[in-house]
Amino acid sequence: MLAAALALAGGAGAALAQEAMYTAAATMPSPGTGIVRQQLHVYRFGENPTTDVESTTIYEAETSIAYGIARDFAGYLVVPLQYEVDELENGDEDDDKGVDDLEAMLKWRFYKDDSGGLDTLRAALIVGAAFASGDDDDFSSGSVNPRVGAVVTSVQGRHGFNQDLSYQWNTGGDAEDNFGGEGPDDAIRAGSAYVYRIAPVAYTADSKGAWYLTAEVNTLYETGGDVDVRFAPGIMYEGWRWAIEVMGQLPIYQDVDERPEFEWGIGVGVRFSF
Amino acid sequence: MHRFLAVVIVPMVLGGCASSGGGMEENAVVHAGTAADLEATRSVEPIREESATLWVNGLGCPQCSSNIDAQFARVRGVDEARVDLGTGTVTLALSGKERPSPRRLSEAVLDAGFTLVKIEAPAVVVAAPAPSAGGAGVQ
Repeated sequence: MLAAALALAGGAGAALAQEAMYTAAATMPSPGTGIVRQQLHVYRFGENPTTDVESTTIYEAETSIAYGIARDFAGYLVVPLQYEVDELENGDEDDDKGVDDLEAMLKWRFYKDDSGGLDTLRAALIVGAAFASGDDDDFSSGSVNPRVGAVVTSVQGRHGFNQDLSYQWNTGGDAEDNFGGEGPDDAIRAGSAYVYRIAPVAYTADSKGAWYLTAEVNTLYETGGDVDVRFAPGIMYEGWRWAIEVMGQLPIYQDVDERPEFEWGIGVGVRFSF
Repeated sequence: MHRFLAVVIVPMVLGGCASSGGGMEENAVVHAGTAADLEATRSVEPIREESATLWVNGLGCPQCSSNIDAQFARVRGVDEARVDLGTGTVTLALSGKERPSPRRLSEAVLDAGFTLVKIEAPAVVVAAPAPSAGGAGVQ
């Protein structure tokens, strides 16, 4: 069920530096090291045209672990726990909790050009799948849904830019429980993230952290024709071994026929290196 | 599909413009090693000095430092690694009988996901003739 939310958040999977919340980056932990990322999301959706649900609020705790397997190779595992509250037409509320599809991904950085002390251009392939968590069908698709994608990251001084693009073959899923990208239609996702370092303006020998403003545009296109485009502004602090991030999410453009429209979202996250 | 292309391509173009708008900062560092510098990073002879300074490209963020720090922690003979994002350098404190070679240090930098341009330690840079003439330096 959270495939939609995970879809927009999960194109990236777990992360490392210069990575915003909803868009992947071509960065990864080095061999033998890892990153634990914990994100808390709230997503608000409007009326579901296929049911008697007036609105839905999804609270999600997404834990992701990234581990450096070898030089330029990293593995990612994402576990999303969800609590969903439906407000029904008759005024009642219905709530449920469960585990959405898990996600296992491999990232291979196949290109790297470090042109300066700070500057770099990198590209990576991402291959993996979202797969059934074992939870009931309200939360998990009950299927294995392969995904392939690519991401490019550019850092030039204080400016960072990430662009990801992925395709997910949804082999299962239920249209009634689809909040975007969870099937049965396949899902194409594209994320663009601009990351701007606001402080320090210039690094010094004593610099141990940095503040960033982030702005993302995340698009989900389902092969059935539904389109969902969101804008996500945020702020992030990145230290040497940890980071904290706060993001908002608003709809830019939606054309969805068989599922509820997205209204807003917020997210907070922390990351730790180990 | 045409709608998808429109909503994907527009952000990509906008983002691309934003990212290329004003790259350099006050202390932007451009490391450029000479051929001799590059050759020196491939040496398998252990570094006998007590310290070495590595010029590294691609160190764009604080968490990058943690990656490189973790890799040097696994290199025998390296006691400490100090990362300076301002100059794009990593200063290593070396000790013990088993010292790392420039090649081993270069491998560690590559494992961390960055690019080693030059190693400054007397035993290493001796082969580099007139580095300033070759464009090496910090700008």
